[in-house]
Amino acid sequence: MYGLAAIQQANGWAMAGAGACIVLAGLAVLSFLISMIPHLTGLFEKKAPPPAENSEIETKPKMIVPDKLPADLGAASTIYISLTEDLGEAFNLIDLHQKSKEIGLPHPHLSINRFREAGVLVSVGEGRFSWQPLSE
Amino acid sequence: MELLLQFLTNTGYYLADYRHILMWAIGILFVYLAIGKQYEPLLLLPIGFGVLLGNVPFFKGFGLGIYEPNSVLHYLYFGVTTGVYPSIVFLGLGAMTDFSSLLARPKLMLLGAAAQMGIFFTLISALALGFLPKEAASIAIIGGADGPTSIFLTAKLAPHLIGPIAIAAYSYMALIPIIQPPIMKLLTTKAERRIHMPDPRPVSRKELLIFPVIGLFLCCFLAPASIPLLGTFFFGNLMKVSGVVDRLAQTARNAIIDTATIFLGLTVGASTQADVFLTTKSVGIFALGAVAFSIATASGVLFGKLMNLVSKEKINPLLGAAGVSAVPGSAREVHVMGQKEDPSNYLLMHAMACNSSGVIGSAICAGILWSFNVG
Repeated sequence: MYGLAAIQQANGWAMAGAGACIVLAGLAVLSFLISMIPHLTGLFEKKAPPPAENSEIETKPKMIVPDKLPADLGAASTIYISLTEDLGEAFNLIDLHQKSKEIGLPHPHLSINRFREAGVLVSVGEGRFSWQPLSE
Repeated sequence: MELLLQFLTNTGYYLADYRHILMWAIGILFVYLAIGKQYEPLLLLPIGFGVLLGNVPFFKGFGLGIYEPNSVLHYLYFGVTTGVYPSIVFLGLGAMTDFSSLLARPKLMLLGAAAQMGIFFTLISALALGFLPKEAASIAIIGGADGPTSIFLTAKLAPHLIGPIAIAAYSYMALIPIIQPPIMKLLTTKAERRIHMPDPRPVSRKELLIFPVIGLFLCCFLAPASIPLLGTFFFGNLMKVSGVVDRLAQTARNAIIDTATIFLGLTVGASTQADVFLTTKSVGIFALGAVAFSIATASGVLFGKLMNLVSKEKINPLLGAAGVSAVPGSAREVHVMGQKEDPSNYLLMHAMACNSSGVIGSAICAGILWSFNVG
């Protein structure tokens, strides 16, 4: 059997319609629940204490974060190299990514990938990386 | 002399016919695409070599072929027919997937749902072409653009079609750079392709920890037949985000998924024995697979445009094309097309969010289709 008759015989319209509705509804509900997670976790979290005025603990000057990274790889890597000063010669990419996110650098994933592809950021084994001077 | 003649008539050279040569050409094409063009090499190389392996002619009854009981290939193929390999692959995928961009902008999940419409359109088309309901459901799932899910559902509903369906699914996944861009371009304007997506908000560890649990309960309660895929997927993800079982998460996303991929690819390729594979049904499956893939891409993009009509915050409709679950190929294509229009437009992270929701969506669809066709 072919054509519309075959679709009707197999209950195809109902299967397709119900299936499409179920998957759309299911993911819409999941999407809604996900959007509620921050509110849910917020309820259980204690409010962070307000920052103390005239804090004397902060000794390091705050880094100025550019809205856009410079297109030049050398200039861009300088910003990232300064982030790893505390991490030592060899460091994990997760730590570098974490630090770049903390200070709000744009698109850290892509930038780190660029450094790796250009050989500025090289693996030193055991999942750790270090900076290499940019070859001219 | 007689012994020598007998030996020669037993060789593959003597037993080969035009069908084997055709399948060898397909196998070599896959190997070339994997090595020469680097199209999905992790999949196409084992599948391509599997096609070559499965199409070496031999005398039936020697316990050599993949369909012959007690052959080595038959035992390896057991992981495909029972759905074990796809389940293991999903474990590794879960341990690889970073859901933070999806959690930061949950509405992108709707694009992953919309892209599944290709599956249901193809279901109707396959029925109209005379395929049986279980076969039609197995063909339709190609529209999810998810190889393991296609194999899993086909193994459950129409095991005799695993070869052509798996080859069609993986071929179209490899051909994403050719199939998707024209559809994306046709359905969007230049201005739409240039829409920038704001950087996602930071996502807390608690959110990342809660998501796999909520996802498991919601998706698996909705479509319990998706437990073998989504159960392992969310478990893999929980291992990753928990941070307390790094060793297990590492193993899942490296050794385990690699092992499963090797045997899955090789045995699926080997299952394309010329006498089983070269049928008119296979031609129909390939044609419907192309339709499924194209409709899936188009429905994702169109849904993105629809969301822009009803929502204040504009999204780039190209992201809809990444709602198919071909990870990360379709996300890469979306990013590349966005950058062609505007080099400062970074869509990759957002496209990966759609991609990961597509994985969940297609697994739910597989569960739904399986439950519709039980019995």
